[in-house]
Amino acid sequence: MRLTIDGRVVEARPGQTVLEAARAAGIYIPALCYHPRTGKAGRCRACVVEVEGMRGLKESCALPVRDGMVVHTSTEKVLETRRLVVELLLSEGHHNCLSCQANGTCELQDMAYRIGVERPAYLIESAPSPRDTSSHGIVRDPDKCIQCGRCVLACQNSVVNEVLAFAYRGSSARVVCDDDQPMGESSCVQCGECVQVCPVGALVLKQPMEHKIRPSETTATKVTCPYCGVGCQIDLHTKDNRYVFATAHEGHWELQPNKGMLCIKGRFGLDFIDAPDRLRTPLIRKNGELVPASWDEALDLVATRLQAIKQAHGADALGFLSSAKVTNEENYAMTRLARAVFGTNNIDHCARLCHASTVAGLATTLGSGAMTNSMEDVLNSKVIMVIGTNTTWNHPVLGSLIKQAVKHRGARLIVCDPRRIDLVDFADIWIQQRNGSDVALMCGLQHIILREGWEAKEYIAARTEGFAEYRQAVESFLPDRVEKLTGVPVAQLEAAARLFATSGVGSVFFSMGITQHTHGVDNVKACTNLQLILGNIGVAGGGVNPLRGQNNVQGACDMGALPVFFTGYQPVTNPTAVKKFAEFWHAPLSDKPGLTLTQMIPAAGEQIRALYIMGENPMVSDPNLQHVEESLKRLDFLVVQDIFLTETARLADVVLPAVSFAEKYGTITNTERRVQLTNQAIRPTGDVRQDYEIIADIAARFGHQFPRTPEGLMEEIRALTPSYAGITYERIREVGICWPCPDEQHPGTPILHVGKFARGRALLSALEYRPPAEEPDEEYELVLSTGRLLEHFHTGSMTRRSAVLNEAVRAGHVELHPDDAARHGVASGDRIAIRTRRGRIVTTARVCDRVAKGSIFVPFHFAEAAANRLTNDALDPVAKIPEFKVCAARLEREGVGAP
Amino acid sequence: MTEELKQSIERMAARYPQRRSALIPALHLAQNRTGYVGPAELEEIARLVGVPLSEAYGVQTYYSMFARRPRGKYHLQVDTNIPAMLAGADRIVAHLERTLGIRVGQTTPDGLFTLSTVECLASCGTCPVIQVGDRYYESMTIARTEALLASLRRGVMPELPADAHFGTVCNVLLARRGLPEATRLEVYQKTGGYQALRLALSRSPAEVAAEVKASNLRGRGGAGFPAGVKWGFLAQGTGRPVYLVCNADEGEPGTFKDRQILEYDPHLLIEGMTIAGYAVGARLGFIYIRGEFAWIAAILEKALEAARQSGLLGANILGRPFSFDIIVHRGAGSYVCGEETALLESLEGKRGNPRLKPPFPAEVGLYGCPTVVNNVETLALVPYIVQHGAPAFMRFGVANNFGPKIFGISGHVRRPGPYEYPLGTKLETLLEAAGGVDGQLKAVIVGGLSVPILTAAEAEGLAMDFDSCRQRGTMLGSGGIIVMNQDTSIPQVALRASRFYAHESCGQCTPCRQGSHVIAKLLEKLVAGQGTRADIDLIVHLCQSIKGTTLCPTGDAFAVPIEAMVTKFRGEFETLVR
Repeated sequence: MRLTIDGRVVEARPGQTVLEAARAAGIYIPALCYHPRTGKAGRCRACVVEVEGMRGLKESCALPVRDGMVVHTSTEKVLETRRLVVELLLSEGHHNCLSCQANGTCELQDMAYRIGVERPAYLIESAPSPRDTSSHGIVRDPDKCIQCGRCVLACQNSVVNEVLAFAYRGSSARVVCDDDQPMGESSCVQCGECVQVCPVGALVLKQPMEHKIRPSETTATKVTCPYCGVGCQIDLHTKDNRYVFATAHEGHWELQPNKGMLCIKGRFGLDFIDAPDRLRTPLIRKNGELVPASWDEALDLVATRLQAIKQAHGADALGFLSSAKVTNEENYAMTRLARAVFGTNNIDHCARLCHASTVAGLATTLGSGAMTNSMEDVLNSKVIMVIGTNTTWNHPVLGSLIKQAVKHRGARLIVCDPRRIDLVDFADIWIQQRNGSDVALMCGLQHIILREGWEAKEYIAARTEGFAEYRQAVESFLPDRVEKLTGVPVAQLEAAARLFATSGVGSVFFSMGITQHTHGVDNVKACTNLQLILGNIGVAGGGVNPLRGQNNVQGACDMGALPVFFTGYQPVTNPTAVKKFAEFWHAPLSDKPGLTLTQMIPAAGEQIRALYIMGENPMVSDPNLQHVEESLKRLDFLVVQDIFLTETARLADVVLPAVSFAEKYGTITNTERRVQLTNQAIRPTGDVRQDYEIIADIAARFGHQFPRTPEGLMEEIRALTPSYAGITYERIREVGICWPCPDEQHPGTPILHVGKFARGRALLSALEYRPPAEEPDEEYELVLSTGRLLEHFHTGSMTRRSAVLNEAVRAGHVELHPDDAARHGVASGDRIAIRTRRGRIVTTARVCDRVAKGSIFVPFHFAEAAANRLTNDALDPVAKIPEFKVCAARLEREGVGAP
Repeated sequence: MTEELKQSIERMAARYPQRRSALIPALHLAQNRTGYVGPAELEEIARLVGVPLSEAYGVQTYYSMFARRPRGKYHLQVDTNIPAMLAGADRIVAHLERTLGIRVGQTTPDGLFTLSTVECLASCGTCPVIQVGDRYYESMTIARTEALLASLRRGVMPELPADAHFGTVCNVLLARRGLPEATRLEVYQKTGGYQALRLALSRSPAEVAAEVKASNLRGRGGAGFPAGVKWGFLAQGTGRPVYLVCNADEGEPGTFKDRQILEYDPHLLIEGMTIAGYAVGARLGFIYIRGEFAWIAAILEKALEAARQSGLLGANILGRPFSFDIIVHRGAGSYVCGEETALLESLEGKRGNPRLKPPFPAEVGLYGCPTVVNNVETLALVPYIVQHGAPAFMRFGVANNFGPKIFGISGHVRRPGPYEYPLGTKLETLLEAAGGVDGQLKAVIVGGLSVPILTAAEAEGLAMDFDSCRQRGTMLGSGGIIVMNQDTSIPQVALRASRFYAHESCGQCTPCRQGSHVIAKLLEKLVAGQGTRADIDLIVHLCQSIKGTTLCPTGDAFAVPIEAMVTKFRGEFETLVR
């Protein structure tokens, strides 16, 4: 449609506002309280216009366009109003640009400049409000606040943390945290969304302010967050080639997976890039000490030793751990190194520890091991089940999307977790099942669904197989039996089954609580069964949605950094695949499945003689760390390629310094299979090399010429991997593409299995309940579970080198139920030891009502009190994933019974 | 929090279509016990009702009546708004400060008395008025104030009947004003009540709506928009329920007419609402009554219960397949909640912030459903129209301005009070009815504080109807007539008025939030003798700029009257200049 603005004919779409149409046409209309993400507000009055045929002034941010509308943005009354708005805002508070952090990026400043307001026309004396510097990363300055309300809407409606609100009234009105607490003492989780949307300097980032660098002085480069599998698009702001701060990338924000949001880690946790202990030179162990060496020396040593071990003990005496933190291109290069240069399929990576169950379980049942729906698709769900994922801590932005679905779209929510996670506050039903009883729980729900006849009969008949055997197995999961196994009351099982089965299309989200078990594959299959019998797969708002932890663990799997697959899940046992890759790589290849990392490490010193580890830290991430340490020390040769001297690198014979995520470019694949481009924001300093360079250098020493650019590597990936074939850097420069994307015209595939499954018909699985490998007994009477925190990430190699994150959480703790604490005479803050059959750690008690009575929870980020000293290395027989989520433990006084 | 309080809140929450609406009622319930709601209790209330703590705090701190800290046993709240000021409220405040030995805002050391000044309590015809706890003490003098204090010191809330006047020539709205026990259902029915309802239910809803439309009944809330037309805007067939909301917030200074119906003839309103509900297809109605009218809310609840017991309200009214019930919902001290969209926000359990329009309540109103919001007086006229027909109704009043109207007359008249006359009655007739001006008429505000003041000369021969007032450069508004004699300082009036709007501004939009504050500060300066001529010009300039720029009419509500005061009485302001 067309409308006229100031005499100009402007094109517009139905549904647009006059402001949007004007902005698209480059016509200036100031708007201080409107923001594309937080929407219209009508508070500032800066955007008012006059419209022929309509009385008075109209807010253009809220006025829908109509064909033939005639708008005037520069009438006397409109201009007078703009001036009035600016002068009134300047009349109170402290709007002094001289020392303001937002000088140069301030929207009020822009408006005043455009209008020609040089100084306030009138000033009202008012008592100054103190700046709130209590938060680790954010500074609030109420005297600069113009009460636009964007931060309140962002906190309440976008991230749904619900901390900020307006309080008091009239000219006393101001934005408060909770019930007017300092921000650092409130429930604020420092996602920073408020800072992102603030038009002025009322909310700014603390660190750049302390370093006296203004946003207007920095350069922004779009990168993909190096933390979790959401894959937030971040603008990394640098000055003089150094990291200054991060914001969410605004370009096409509504198409990006994070929708313009970040979490505390992406917002504040990237300063590890410049940590003083970054590795800046290769290191070689000489006389027991790691000493600096040249690249040639280091690489020659690596090549010689690996070759020697191969000759003495065979190619399968070598093991390669690729990285979920480097790009797809680099993962691919590593697989080519292991397979083509060294002739072994002993390549794996940390997916073994997190979603190996998922890949195995979904591949078998659906034909594809990945998240079936996109993250934003949760907004289409009528009911959401969140099981074994503490989403607001570990995938915070997705957690916010789930909260949006509940708060704005009326979605119902069922949370299944032995712990009271924060999402419980938004849930209709919270099921607190016992650790390790998920098969019983899920089968119990399905039993009720079938009994009531709520299943999608046509879907089951048309799209699945194995229903008869499946049904028979589910028969035995009667509600009473399930209550005994899970601890969940029958009434709740009935209610949850009813809610999930009869609310409309439903989605299931899961993560480590489902996968990290000795029956992790069964757990995954149980989730798939539920969604299959309800017809919830291959449809919008549905799906089986595993949440990948690392930013590129999906990509690492896609690239075949797995002992049984080439890229794109082409099996190494498939002769056609072997032939294709052998020809492409000009090398003979093994067709024998390799060892998983949870097999390689225990086999170190025996079958495995050498390990080449890139960007992984098994000395903190793997179960039963005592064994891990002993195993690694038995190796003949250990190479570690990393950016820090991690706990694992400290044991290495050779340490190769690579570059951080900000210093490389290439593609990264997030949990929803979206392949996104990350760009180089900082030029590496020191004697460091790109991961793909290092790999190519080693390969070259064996006569293999690997591509020496990410582009070149990507071309190979595309040629070998049908699901990536249509993805080019050009196509994903602005917005990523979800695979499969078979050709350059294909738009990508946000939702899998539409119409038919990757394997044709989906397979329903007959399951039986198996208890965890180790359950509590008289000696070890508590259930120990491990997991993560919001503020830290995995082995802490990055987050524990970040200033804000370390201020937020400096050390580890153990969550303890008040009854158990009382029994042991323990209070919050006390030092306490935890012992299992594997080991013992000393940490700090945190008494809270999050854990169930009889259970304790330890986050695994803290190497000095490493949770994995305690965990059980019992494995799922198929996926070989360890049972991190349940084992038996007891508490001891700090001094008693030393390790 | 006691179990008993939890249960009360739970019961409250169960009444409403959306639980969140129980937030303000819950805060009242909790505050009734101890006089305040502290942080821990607020957290519990937030959890019970299902809102984030930050929003609950935002609500608690928005409304004037809520306290976060303990107050004295007796909270003495003195109305110092314009009508009360003209009747001498400031002297009462000064006396209380002297006698109690505290300033406004403080509590006596023995914890017995807290002294506050408050905005218009809708007692304009019987002021000065002091609200103690939930009770009004009206027609206060120094002597009566002393008597009040003496009684309170003995722990007794005394009976001090007001010196009230009223009059009616129409005998429609104030027909039962002087009748003993008129609030009782039996008395109401004996005097002809609920016949209109019977008649309405024997017709179709469309017929009833048509009759009201034909009567040209103009809304009595202040805007004068035809009620029948407003009903016609209701979105139909949306699949969402339709709600009827009665605006009983009566906060416009100078206005106390709705109170007469609510307090003395509740069944008239209830019958009117039930008929209106029938006509528009509503099953549930709300009376949003200002929080200060606690005892009147109780009167309404009692009347509603009596109606239910007699099958006049609730399921299958009078044996028909028409079900309709009414929830009484108290506000908590906010003038802006008299604006219909702010009222709906407040009813939903939020801060009283007006909404952007469009969409209008007829399309997206309470809980996002089609809603009609009507004033008390408007709904109270519906039974007459239905029973006697539109032509009979239109025999009152003048062309395009039909029906009876309660004019609330306050200020410098000998018998202030509510007077029911037809629309179009001459102002001088009304002033006569109120005992005539006490002294020489200097100025008059004819429609509540938010309309332009008239000089005595401008008020000559004015007919009190919507159109005539507009032609005279003012507005009929709520018909609240504030009379000012020769002793009145217009700058003092302007200052007090500006403080009112600054206090009541919801704070959403820049021009009202900051503008009302700046204007109040400038007038303070002037009245204190510290102002300049430029300040006067600035006040006028700001008023002119602010006009038309705000999110809701509150901006015009102060900008237009204050501009009128300053420009029409400029001389008085100039004498204040240093």
